Amino acid sequence: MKKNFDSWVYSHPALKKLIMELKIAFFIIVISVSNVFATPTYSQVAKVSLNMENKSLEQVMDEIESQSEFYFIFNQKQIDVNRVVNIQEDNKLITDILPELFKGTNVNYTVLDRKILLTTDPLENNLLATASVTEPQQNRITGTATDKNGAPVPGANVVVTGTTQGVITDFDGKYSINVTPGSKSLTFSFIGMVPQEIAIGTLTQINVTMAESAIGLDEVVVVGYGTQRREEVTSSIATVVSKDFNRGAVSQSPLQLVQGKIAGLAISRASGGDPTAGVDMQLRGVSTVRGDASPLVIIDGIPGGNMNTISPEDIASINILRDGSAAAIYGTRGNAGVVIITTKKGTAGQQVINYSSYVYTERWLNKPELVDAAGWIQMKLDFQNSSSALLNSKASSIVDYGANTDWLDEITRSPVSQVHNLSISGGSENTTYYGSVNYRDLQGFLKESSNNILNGRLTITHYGFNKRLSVQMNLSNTFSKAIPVDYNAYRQAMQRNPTLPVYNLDGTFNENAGYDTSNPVGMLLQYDREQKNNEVLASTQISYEIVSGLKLSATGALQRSDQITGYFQHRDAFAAVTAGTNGEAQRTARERLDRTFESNLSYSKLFGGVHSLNVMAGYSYQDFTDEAFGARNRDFITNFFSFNNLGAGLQLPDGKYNTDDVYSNKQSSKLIAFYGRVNYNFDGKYLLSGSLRQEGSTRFGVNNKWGLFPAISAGWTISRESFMANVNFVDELKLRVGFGMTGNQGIGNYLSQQILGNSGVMLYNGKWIPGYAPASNPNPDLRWEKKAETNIGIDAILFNNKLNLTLDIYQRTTRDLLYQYTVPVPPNLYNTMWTNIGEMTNKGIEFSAKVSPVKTNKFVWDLDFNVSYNVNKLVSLSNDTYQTKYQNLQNIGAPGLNDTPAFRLEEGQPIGNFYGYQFAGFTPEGAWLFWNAAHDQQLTFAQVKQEDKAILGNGLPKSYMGLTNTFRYGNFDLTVFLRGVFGFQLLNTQRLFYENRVMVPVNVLTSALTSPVIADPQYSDYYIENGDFVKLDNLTLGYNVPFKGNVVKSLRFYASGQNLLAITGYKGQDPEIRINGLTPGMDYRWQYPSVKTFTLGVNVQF
Amino acid sequence: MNKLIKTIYVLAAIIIFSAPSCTKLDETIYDKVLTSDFYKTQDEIIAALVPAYGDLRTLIDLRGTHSLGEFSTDEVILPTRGRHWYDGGNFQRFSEHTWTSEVAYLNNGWNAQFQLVNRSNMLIYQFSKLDNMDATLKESFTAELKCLRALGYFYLLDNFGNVPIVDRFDVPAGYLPANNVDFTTGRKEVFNFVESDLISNVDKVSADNNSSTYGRMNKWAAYALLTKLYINAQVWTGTAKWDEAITYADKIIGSGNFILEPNYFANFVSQNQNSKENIFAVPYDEYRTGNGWGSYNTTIWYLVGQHFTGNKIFGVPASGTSGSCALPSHYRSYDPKDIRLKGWMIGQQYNKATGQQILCTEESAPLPLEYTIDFINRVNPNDGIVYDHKNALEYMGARFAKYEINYQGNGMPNDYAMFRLADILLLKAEALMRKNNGVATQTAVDLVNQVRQRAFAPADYVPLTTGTLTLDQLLKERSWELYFEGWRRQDLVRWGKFVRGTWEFFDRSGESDTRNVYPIPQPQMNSNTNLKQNPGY
Repeated sequence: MKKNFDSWVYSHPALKKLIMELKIAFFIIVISVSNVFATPTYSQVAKVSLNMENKSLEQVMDEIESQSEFYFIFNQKQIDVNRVVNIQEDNKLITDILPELFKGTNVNYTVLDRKILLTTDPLENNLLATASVTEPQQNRITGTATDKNGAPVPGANVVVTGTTQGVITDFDGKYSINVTPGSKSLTFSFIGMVPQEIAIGTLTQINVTMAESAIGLDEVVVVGYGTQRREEVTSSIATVVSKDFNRGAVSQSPLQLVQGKIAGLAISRASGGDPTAGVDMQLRGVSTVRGDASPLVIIDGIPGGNMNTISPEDIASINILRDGSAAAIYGTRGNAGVVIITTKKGTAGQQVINYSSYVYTERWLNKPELVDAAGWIQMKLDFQNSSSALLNSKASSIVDYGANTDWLDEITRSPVSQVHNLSISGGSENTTYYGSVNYRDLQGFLKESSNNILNGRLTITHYGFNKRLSVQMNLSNTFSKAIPVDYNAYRQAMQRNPTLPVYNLDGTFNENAGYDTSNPVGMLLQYDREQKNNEVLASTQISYEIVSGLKLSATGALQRSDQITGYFQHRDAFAAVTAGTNGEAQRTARERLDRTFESNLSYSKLFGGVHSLNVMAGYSYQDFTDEAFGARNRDFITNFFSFNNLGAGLQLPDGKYNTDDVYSNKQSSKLIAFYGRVNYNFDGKYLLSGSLRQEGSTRFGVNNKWGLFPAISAGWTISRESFMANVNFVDELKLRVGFGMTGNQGIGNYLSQQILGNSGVMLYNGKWIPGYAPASNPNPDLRWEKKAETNIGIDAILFNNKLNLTLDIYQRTTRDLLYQYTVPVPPNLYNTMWTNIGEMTNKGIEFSAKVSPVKTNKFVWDLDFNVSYNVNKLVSLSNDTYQTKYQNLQNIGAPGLNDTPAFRLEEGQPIGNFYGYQFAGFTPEGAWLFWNAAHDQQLTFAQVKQEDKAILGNGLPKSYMGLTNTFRYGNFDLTVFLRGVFGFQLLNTQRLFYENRVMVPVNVLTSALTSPVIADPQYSDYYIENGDFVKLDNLTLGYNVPFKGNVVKSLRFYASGQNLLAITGYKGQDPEIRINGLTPGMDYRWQYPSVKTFTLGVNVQF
Repeated sequence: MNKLIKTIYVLAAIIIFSAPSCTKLDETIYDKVLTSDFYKTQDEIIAALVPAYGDLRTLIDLRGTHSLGEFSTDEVILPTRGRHWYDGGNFQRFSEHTWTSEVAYLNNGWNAQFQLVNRSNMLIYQFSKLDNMDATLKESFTAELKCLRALGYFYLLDNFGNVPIVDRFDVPAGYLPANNVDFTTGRKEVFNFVESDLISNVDKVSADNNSSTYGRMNKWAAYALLTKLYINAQVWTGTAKWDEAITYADKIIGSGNFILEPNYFANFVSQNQNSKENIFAVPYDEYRTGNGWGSYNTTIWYLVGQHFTGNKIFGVPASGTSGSCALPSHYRSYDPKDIRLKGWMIGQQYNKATGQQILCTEESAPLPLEYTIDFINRVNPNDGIVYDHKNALEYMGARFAKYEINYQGNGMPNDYAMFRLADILLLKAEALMRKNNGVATQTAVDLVNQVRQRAFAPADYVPLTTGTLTLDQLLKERSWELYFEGWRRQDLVRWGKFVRGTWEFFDRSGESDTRNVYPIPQPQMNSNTNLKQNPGY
């Protein structure tokens, strides 16, 4: 506190209001605790030690604030901060200290979470204004400020708008204020709440319901190994808490909860509506060429967490460490981003039972329009009468088998999926708990596909030894049974003759011989597939505060995933009949076990009232084991056993044994790390943070196992500078600069060592014997892939919390790219080798804004917008030894386009370049014409040369946008969520293969009938389309039933639609496809249909 | 309480200071084995040799060396058929002689050939370092590996010519092999290397010719390789070595180990390991070797050539892919009574199990599937369309069935006959003729007639004479006898007819000599700056 400064301010009344608010902010000098726990009730936990003699009350309050997250709210006129006090308290709760501190005074205190409200009696004297503003005729207005639950809001400011005249609400949220006649309105404000302005008119009583601000000033941000107050964060960290999660059904991944919500975080539902698939995620562009491209997930402090172990309903918040300075503390696996998931915990004294449920169904997003039976017969006539000799010659292959089948209808259904979640939480002063059961019965849109998940979770937090010790135990277990299906059923349905029946008269599946032809319904129904998982995440975290500010924590965790799969191809499945296998059964079992031990020591201290220091150091050990076995048998005399009686097959007993019919394998790896971090801030104004992680991985060469990952970042809270004191519309303005290194070790094990594996057989002295050979080119120099990232950001909170802006600019450079290089043989053993060469950059900008354009008692409109732009460049893939100027990737596939790569990975270019011939037109006969390289000559297919190929587009989206509109009117709420992806192209293989009449006897799209193409399919930019799209991704209408019952605390119903509409020029099924890997933008023919989802749900709280 | 605090301090100290001691980062290996832990027993040492022979199956894979030897010739073609087999135009480029250094099969061929070279080098080095290895075994394995290495270089010489010579495994770090800056000199050096390696090791490998050396690089296989090396000496080095070719052919012929099988197809049946004609074969097993599509035995003999309904024609588990076929001119070049012609299937095809006529399923569905020799429209021969390698229909072309199709498990059990006595007999005849200014000697005629006689019923057999056996006739005889065995390109080059040779569909009279060798594949050029591209590419 600045007494002199305050005195000066109070002699300048115009500044008083601003100062009142700034003061609150100034008081918040909080030490971040190196603690991964969410704290249930702060005042029950936080301890303060004071040893102060002949100090002013002000100094004592400063000390309390520096040792804890508490801050004092009071009226300078009421509380004598210069009062001299003596206080000796060793590690006491605040509730023990306050009575001592204010003994014998008229000061009342109330502790509300981290806020300590100081008031004096009587209430009427609570005027901020001095006598000078008091005039004879005044109207008295009284009222109560409450939060949305009806609880009183004490300590709120009530000010006559535009004046310095104001009061503070009391413990019960009550206030009383005298206003001069003619005063227009009152402004109510409180930290963490949305300020409200209410017109006075003729009112003498104004009760106000204050809503929590979307932008909580006292928001706590989860960072690596701890938490920080939002305003102290110096890195780029995005947080989405559960109330802001996407609404509606979550069918694939918890990450769907934040899809489109975070600038820079691209999430793509790459597998259509498949309930057994996950989503693609990419943070700030492509992070690697061949290393692990999936983010590091941290669940309640356990790095490498498996998202399958938690149900979406149990997630309290998802934090994304976007920039290198934030992620570097987890350094080694942070290249593709760090996702920190914090689960819900119990709160002391409050027993809450929540039940939520929803049911949803799905429909085609865009059903491809295929030629039907009548069109098929007409097409034959058209071919016969066509002037094209090619079409004439193909007329005979269009055969009418008499049926009329919509094959896409035959493979799909109207699924009904349901999700139920029941949680109970609560606790006493020393022990809190949270338990939940989650059941998800997800039916796929493609017949047979489904996923059935049961998850149970229990979290217990216990405090002991006078709250110095805390122990948290988490146990989460997920059982799931998925039935994945063969996506080729979709491709077969697309291309199957519409006059073929599904079934023969005898009830068997109708099949016909030929190239790549199979009854798609049979492909779904004549295979038994099952994948059962049992995933456990168990952890115990212990933390002990040795002396005030010094805390030792240790965490042990076990994550185990057991999987057993079954596969049975029925005896009468077409492929089994063709191959003469008489059915094929397979079982596999796999166990993955990750063990984690982490310990760290942290110390925090405030020196001289303004120097806040927080130091943390720790050790981390993780090991990962993965083992599996499997067996396969064929030749069954019955379908009856499915995959449950492998021994019944005759092939293995007959000695007809393929080398991979029985197998087992096992591998393991380890990560060991030391890490540390120092946070320093001066007076909340200048913030500095530095961290260092040294981590070793077993995967790398003996001299390169250890990598060092430093980070440094700084923040400047400009709004706290005195020169900003007059800028009224700025609530907070902070500049951040950060630099950090992260790594990637996402390659296979044992690549640095010369190891031998099975390698074929040979006839030796008339007997077949097995061979052993080096399994790969060993690379003893293999080392960490490292990314250096610089980030500059600005956070601004403006206009009384109505507008919150964040802008980040970054440049990330990945060096020592892990890549499987083509190497010469000799000297190498194999023509590929894993090594570190090359450089890739991503540069981008991210902007997000939260606005509250309208905020009244009855109607609220919140707007949440984010946009990001990223430019990727593969700078180099070569050095003196290894050269890869370019590499062609991803053959398009049969028929006819094997060995026709669609992409070129090239130095100096971004990832995802399409590369091929440039379409120039058609000959009068409908044959292809392509441009030559100089683009001045049209060449036929026979004439065009390899040198005429060019870059045709790029499949990697450059820009992502998300816009959430939330409207609340009375008890109704409406969410409209738009999501856009821009700046990329797609290769529409559906058109390439099916928008071409020449492809008969397979079926074609109706658009083929008018297509000018009368030639075998060729790859060119004729099939490269702009993928830009905007989706109406979520539309949710909810109703909160106003309940006054004792049992039911709240009840909400809602209806939601997801992926309802895609506004795009793209002619394929869905422009939202895979973004990961080196070949983004390839829209495959085999896919799971994209769907729109309709959901009805209910939430009840008891 | 103080006691408790002290306990906590101690515990804390233990946690903090014990943890950092866990910093060992050795990898634990479970399902593989470190090289340093292996080669302890005789069985383990022998197991090390296996991959070299496994590499032979990669070497002869259709999607590599075998394609390079056949699809650019007058025997076999892999035409684009309707929507199938365009595949980046690679097969059309082979047929047209317009391949580029980016054609994947070139790289596959290079990789497989150098893989054998390098594997041999590695094993030679490894065995040399083993002090627990039986000395006799070490010497014979090393000699065998040097001959295998020579086999790899033999193919490299043929396909790419001037390639780097790498004769050791323990090269310095960062070593990148270089070829000679001059193509002609470089190719000569490679030739000399192969020659000297074979000569100095041929007497160290086993002279046995029985089940103990079947599938192995024994003396007879090495002799056959020497014969084939010398017959090409003029093309590869500019210096003819006809006498040397004759010498080594004679060693084989005179050994009495090999006879022409009375039945030509006995060399290609599913259990052809009993052939007395095959000098060197790569053994296959339907379950142990080859996994699925990419492997040699499923592709060449069966899948690539036969129609999609091939499974029904032969009553076997896997379908064909309707690819390669005989060039009409090749088929028509035979005497119709030639027994060997039965290795090319033509005419209506029937379901083996039911006897029913098989129908086309693709662009010509539902016509009966009748393989035609010529590329003509069976329904409307005068449709005005010229059918060739770019737009064939599914029934066009005679299909390869020289190897008995008896597919099971993962593939076929037929062994790949690399060197056959018939080939050696014809090579000796060729050497004699070339020594004699291209004119046949009676010995040459007798050799060719031996091979020829077997191909005809006694009543149909018309022997050749010194008047009728010309070099051109010999080139045809080689084609009829050795069709699709991977040698045609090499033969045509030796006859000077690979470039500028004109046969059905292709008139390449203006072609340059550049195409007599393939370019060094682009990925190799990209990954090794020490390589100089072949002239003209």
